[in-house]
Amino acid sequence: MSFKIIKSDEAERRYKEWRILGRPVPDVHGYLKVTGKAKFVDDIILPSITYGKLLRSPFAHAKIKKINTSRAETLPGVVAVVTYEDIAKMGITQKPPRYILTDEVFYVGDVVAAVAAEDEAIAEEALDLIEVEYEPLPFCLTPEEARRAQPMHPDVSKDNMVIGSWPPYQRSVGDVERGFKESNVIVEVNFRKPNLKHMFLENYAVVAEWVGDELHVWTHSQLGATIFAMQLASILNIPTNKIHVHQCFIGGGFGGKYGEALIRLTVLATMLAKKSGRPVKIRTNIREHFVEGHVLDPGITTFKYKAGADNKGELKALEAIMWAGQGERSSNVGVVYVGDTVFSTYRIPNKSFKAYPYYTNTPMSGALRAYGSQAGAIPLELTINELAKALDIDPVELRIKAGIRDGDVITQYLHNEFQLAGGDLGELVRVSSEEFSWKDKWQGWRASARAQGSKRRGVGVGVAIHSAWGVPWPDNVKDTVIVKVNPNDGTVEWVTGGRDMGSGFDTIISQVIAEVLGVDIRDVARAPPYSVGQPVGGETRASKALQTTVFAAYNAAQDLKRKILEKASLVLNAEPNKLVLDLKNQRVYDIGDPTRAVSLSKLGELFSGVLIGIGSCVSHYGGPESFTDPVTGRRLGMKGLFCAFAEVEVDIDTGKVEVTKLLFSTQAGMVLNPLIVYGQLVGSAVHGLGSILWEGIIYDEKTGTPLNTSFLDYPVPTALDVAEDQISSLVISDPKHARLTPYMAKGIGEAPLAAVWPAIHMAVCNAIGKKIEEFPLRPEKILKALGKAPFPETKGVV
Amino acid sequence: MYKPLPEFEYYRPRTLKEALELLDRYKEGAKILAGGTDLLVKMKKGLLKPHVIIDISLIDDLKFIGESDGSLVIGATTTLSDVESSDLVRKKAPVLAEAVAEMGSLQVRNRGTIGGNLCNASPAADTAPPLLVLDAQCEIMSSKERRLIHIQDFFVGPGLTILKPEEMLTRIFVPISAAKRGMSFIKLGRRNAFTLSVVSAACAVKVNETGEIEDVKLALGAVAPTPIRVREVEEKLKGIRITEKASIEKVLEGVKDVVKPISDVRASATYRREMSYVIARRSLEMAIKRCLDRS
Amino acid sequence: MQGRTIKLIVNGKLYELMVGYHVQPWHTLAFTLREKLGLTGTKVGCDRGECGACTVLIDGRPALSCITLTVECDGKRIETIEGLHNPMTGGLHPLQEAFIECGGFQCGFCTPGAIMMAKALLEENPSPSLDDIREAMSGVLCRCTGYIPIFKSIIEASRKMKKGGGCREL
Repeated sequence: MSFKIIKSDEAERRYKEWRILGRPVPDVHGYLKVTGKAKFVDDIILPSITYGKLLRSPFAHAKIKKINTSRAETLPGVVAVVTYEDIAKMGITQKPPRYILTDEVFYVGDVVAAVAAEDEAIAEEALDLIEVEYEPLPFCLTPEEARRAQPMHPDVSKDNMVIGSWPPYQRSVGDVERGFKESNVIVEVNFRKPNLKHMFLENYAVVAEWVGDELHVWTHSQLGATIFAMQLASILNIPTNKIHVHQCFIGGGFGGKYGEALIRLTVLATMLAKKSGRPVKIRTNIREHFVEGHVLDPGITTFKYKAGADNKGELKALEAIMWAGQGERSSNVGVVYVGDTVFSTYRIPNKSFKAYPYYTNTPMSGALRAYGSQAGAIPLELTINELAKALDIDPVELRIKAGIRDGDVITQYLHNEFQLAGGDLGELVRVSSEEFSWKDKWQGWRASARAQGSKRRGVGVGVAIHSAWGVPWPDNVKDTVIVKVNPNDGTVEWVTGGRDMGSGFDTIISQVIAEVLGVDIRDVARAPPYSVGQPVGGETRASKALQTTVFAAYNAAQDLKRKILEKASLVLNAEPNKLVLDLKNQRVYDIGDPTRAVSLSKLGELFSGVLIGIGSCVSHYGGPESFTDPVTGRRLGMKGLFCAFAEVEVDIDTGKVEVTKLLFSTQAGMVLNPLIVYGQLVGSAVHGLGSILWEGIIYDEKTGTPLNTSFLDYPVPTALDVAEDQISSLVISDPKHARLTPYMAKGIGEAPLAAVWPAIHMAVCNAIGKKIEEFPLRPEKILKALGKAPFPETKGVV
Repeated sequence: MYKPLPEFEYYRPRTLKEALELLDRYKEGAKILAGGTDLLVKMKKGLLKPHVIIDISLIDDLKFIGESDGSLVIGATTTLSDVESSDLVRKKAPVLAEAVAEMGSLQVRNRGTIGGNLCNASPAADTAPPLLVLDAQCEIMSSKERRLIHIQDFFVGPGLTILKPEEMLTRIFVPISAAKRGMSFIKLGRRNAFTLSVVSAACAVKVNETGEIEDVKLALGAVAPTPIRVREVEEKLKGIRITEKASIEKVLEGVKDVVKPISDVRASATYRREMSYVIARRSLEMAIKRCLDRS
Repeated sequence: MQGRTIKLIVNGKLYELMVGYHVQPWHTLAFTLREKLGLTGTKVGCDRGECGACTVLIDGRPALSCITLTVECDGKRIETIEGLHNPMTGGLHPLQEAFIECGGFQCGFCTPGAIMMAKALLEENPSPSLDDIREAMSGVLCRCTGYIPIFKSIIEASRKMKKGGGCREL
């Protein structure tokens, strides 16, 4: 695999200035992870612990008419049973209704009751003893069904739609009708995507224990200990400072352990623990993975895009409509991100977006790696391809021309506008296309000329955008990091209320602090995240840590340095800028005369608080107000820009696809840690390779039951599906692309897959010379597109 | 999946005699444990709940690979890894080694056994197509009798074998043919590793000096209630010249009428039916090529 | 089998477990290691033999501890991730060092299984080709790394071990 970083002159200059940033520093928790000592939730074993299991609905929609738990409760070894009746009894606020348990179930796998027992066998047995009388109700699985159906949920609109956090789900810019009139070619694309799941290796789990009126929770929530504690407090109606959240190491998240994903499981465990007086561990299994937490938002979706361009290749209009099955609940942030891709990927003067987010009887939808940007990228990219085809223009050329760039107006959460600071999508595509040798490989729109036996070759390109910086999230709290120095030996410690999920910000923060304070990485340690007493911060999600938590850590280190030098300047009677912070020798000295120095312990004795630095930054995309363009007066924001090129071989006899070459690229700004950046890019790209070819939850049409609930039947790539000579990654390192952070870097961990999807999809369609308007690219779909035999759909709804 | 295994009584006989006596005693109440890669998974899924488990992995008589009277003899509890890496198997029945190499994962092959794979009787069992074209014989024993049956008769339905409750598969005999055959195994899965067969095919072919197909055996997996030999098609292939591609393909199309695939989450019946032809053809082509390479 | 004692040699240490008391016939090896012997380094992912996270070595060969009964391992030598580092000095096995240096993990959940798989590979084949590595590692699923950093780690470990393997000082 090639991993290339192209550094601009300015980047080179900065890299040379750095001691620790920019280096491939290994994961600071590496020792724990390679020895198996890192504690994950299931590794927590407490004295007298009991085990919880969840009774799940076999119906996609039903009223619970009666529930009798007496036989389960009296089974020897059972310590507690809870049903929706306990919610009110235990003073729990479900927010909004149907959050934890109610007397209605809304999807197959929805939780009906929970049991805790001395061991799991007894708990399983107890589940069978809970008698539930269901009244099955009509249900819908797809947006098409939802559209025709009566409202499915108690507080749904009369159109059966989810309100979510960011209504209305429409926006337009310019005049789309006029744009179409000005177009010489108009194309239409219909596209369909399935429900997707995270497939992390560590299943959802939780441990809960009451110690008096204190609640202890061991979790792998991506929210971090502090934010998770606040959420639990508002639901359980107990003071936040009585909730001790121990955030364990997270065995893969990808968004699936973010947001509300762990709330129900955790609240059920706390209820069982309260009722039994015993600690409770609930660990779910791989089948439950598909009905616990959330699926990707948007869910099962139909897209209908229409675009126009003139003969010169100028994009004139884009009309994007989507109908999504959002599941039992959703914030609809993914839908909104789809809208963002419409407004922020290409320069199109007239564009409109309208989304219909329906309630469907499937699990709730939420974040999954690139959260809507990936769902939005693929129909958009196919539309651009159709335009290129109609205009007979190289699809790469069209993107180079029309890609968003520095200074353009972008949207975030559909309704907020920003000016893009840094980034040039067209340039990224151009450089990447050269790296990929696109001109040599591109054979035009017809089925490939390179045909060997039953194999056909095709190539494709895709771009994606994700994540920006600029708008406050409702109920936002700033990310705060505290840095502390030990006066006796100058070692440094830092803390914030959350840790990374393997995505690396713990290591990056240690690097940043080490860089600012002039120490080595081994001189920096972090306290494990714990909700009581730690500052709020450290969510691991959204490719945002580099812009938020890391920025807060930077500020904290600067604060500490400034404080020490300020106080030292009083003692040494010299200007702070003439003093050197020398933590290795636990002192501050005068640069003109190093014998004039003061020790850290002396400073600590004289001045309170001098050995602690505090730094904050906006927690979620809320860019500091000071980031406005002096000329236009517009608020500035950053976006991650990604590009991918793929070459595939399709066996037209079997319909199997082999990805022979995959290049993914991004403009990352400065690369603070190439080991981390490389790992994130490859991980995301391979994730994307698997999803476009194989992933999609298959539901039984008659019952709404998910059918392919295992690693075998919901396939993810294995080591044999990836080859070193197949994969290459290109990073453009130029600080101008990430100039809103002091170290000029921005997050890149999610969206490579968002570009990989359309690249591989286009390559497959190019290989067979046919359109396929959906994914996964199952062999049957490919053979069907080729007109070979009448292939009925595989059983079930995808 | 943390559905804990149900409780059971566990026996670990050291001799075949002991094992057969236990089977006699418990009959349907007992399940044989060799590698556990099928049995324990089924138990975790709640599909099986035996009261008694008889672990036969310590019985030396069942774990070996040898030669006897012109046959390769493989004990039922020989692990798939050992089958795959055996020089004897690679020399005398290479198509079996080829098939085993792609099964499950390395960890699964280290514990899974050839007997276990056959007795689990999945229609997609990958050891079956090779053994079918090798005309293997299965030795079945109870405490009272011993019988030998052709592998084709071993499978009765999906997950069902001809074994009576008190019977056990003990050894597999693979006749070693002197004829210079070409053999192949092709597996169509969904990804490159750790995948179940969507369709699989094994072929053994002998081409004579005049370029005609003298003898051919073709077996398919995952396209019928059991792994099958497509004898009807085999018969029609005999005598055709290998250069007459169109005729061969026409005959092979006949497999589509023989197979009885189902639709499941992995593939539709139609796809399996169409692929039975494609994979059978590829398997035959490769076997022919290998036959020619040998001569 | 109740009342009998089985012997497991785990990371060189002998454990005598009485069936029906310390361990039941239906306890998997993964369960016993994690919940009876306190060796939580071995992780349980899918718990049905499809992901490889629970990989340990039984008599030197990689096996899935979630679908192996404890009683089946009577008299066998079991190696888990805990057996690799030097408990006295904290020193790491070259594989562990290499995984750290080359970023062969991110969340760390599949890592014990991946490292044990790699250990078995390198012990059988000290100079594996990239294809050998891919073949061996295809039995451990990883959702984080995209595998290439794992390949690199194993190549680096192979290099280290040829230079003079064994446990390093921390």
